[in-house]
Amino acid sequence: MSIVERSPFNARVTGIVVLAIAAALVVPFFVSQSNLYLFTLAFLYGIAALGVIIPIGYSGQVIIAQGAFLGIGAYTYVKLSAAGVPTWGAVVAGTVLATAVAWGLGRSGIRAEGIYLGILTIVFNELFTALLSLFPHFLGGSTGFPAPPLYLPSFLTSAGMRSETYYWLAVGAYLCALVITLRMLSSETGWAFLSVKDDPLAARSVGIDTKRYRLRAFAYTGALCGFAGTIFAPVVGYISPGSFNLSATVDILLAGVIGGVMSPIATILGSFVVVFLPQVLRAFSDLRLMIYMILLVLIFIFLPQGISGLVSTYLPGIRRWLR
Amino acid sequence: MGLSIHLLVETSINGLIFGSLLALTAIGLSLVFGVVDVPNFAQGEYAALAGFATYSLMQTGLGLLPAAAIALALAAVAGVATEHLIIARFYGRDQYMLYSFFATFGLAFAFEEGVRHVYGTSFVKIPAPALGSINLAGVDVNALRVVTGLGAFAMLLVLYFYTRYTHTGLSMRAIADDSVGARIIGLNERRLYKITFGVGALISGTTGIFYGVLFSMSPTTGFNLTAFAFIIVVAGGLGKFFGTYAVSLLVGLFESFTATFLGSRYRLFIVFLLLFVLLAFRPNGLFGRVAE
Repeated sequence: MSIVERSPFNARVTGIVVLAIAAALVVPFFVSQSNLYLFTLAFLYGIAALGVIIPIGYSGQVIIAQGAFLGIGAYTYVKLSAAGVPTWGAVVAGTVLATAVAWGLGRSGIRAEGIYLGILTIVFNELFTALLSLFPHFLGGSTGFPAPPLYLPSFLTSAGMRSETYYWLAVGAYLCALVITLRMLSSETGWAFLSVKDDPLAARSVGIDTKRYRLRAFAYTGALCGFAGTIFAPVVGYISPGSFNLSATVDILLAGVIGGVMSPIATILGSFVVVFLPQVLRAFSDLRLMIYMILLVLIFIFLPQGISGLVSTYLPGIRRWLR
Repeated sequence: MGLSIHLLVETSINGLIFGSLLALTAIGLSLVFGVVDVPNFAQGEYAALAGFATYSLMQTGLGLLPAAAIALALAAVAGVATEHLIIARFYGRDQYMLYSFFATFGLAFAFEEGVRHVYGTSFVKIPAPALGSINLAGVDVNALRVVTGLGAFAMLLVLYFYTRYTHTGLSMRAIADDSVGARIIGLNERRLYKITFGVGALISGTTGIFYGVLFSMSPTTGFNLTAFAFIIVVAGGLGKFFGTYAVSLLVGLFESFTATFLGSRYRLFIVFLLLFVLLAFRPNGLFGRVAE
């Protein structure tokens, strides 16, 4: 079985990739400001969703704390940049801190099995949001903070291109994260992840340090989500515990699972579903969330392998054509 | 005011009663998780369903007991329906547990939104007869609370004997213990899964009615009960009947003391913190084995 679903790079595939990226880049010229904001969010969720499929799809660890890692990135960004640290330095610091916290959580997390790991990480997520509300003066309480804007070159801000630049930044960051993830998964690390998931005992017997790879998956999840969080803060312009609680975590998880947990490229499809579906359902006003949740349950029932599974099951022609 | 003995005893009694209620939801969760391998995030919603249904049925003029009986039947049907409509689609799938967790999570939130839509965000309380008060250890305790606590304990005993001495109950335990062996000796797994879901929902539904009589219910009641039930099951270990009951009482006591002496906004926080510390050091539960 191939670890990452990919076809050999030929002219046709390269053409499609270039076209897709070009289409993504010209989006700001065709959509309204409010829709551009949603597109930006979708790409940021895509980065975090890569931090879902690495542990869940590849290394077999049920980590359910992505929202908290996102929040650690976002709160670090806001606290540091408000204290006068250059915003890009705050982005780096937020990513590093989220990685470190994820690594620390992983120290005990790698010893937990199956659903116990899920519960441990859910509890971590709940504690994170509870802590935010318990320290209203330092961490903004349940109302939160406004987030300082990212430093951008003045020719962009004076041209009124701030939200467009944020969007391109999100697209670029997503593509970088995707390429790094794909490269990692097709390297030795990717195979080690799969062997840790399928048979830890066999993995150990051939000399794979299962603990080290489980810890690495934790840190990688923290890094991706933390980085997405540092960009999330200036894009949204305001952060509060509600953006990082358990339902935010579930949204991120859904982005990964709806795309397909073994298909890194499909994370962007899943992200678009979780960002745009609630908007589509706005017409139902207060029944919106209920319909959203029911639709998700239906997706689980009828799309076992997510959208990527749907494509490879029902549209084999596409794959043949790509070859 | 100081730390009066009176307050300590009262807080303890309240904690034990609350713990007994939690035990019912936790045992329901433990049963479903143990037999069907589903970490059912909607377990507390069966309690909410039974509680709100009892309330609504009594609004139409029904008495407490008939309304409660119908509500419990509804909860059991909801449990069987969960298995039949959702969980049954996942059997044999890769990452079955994860998908069933997500699906029940979605179900729980859909139901919560439904409750919010029908009842609004106001608190709802099931009207119950005043039974006066009983003197326990020098403290006057509302008799209704005592009756409820004892009722919860009685339900647990019934379930205990059901899983120990009836054919169906024993079959459930056989499947939890060794599902392949159970199939070989001819047990009908699919049927037992449905029954387990029904019984689990019924027992958790009882929590909802007791809870609605003693406290007041809001749309998030179901989620809170689920959270407590997960904490208890994870801490107390699976399939340990009286272990789960003991941990429930501990959690109830803890909750009661935190709410009385620290303030209710710390309630869930302290319990979560304890669970986190416990899991950080014993990643597979209090009685679980520690992986290499």
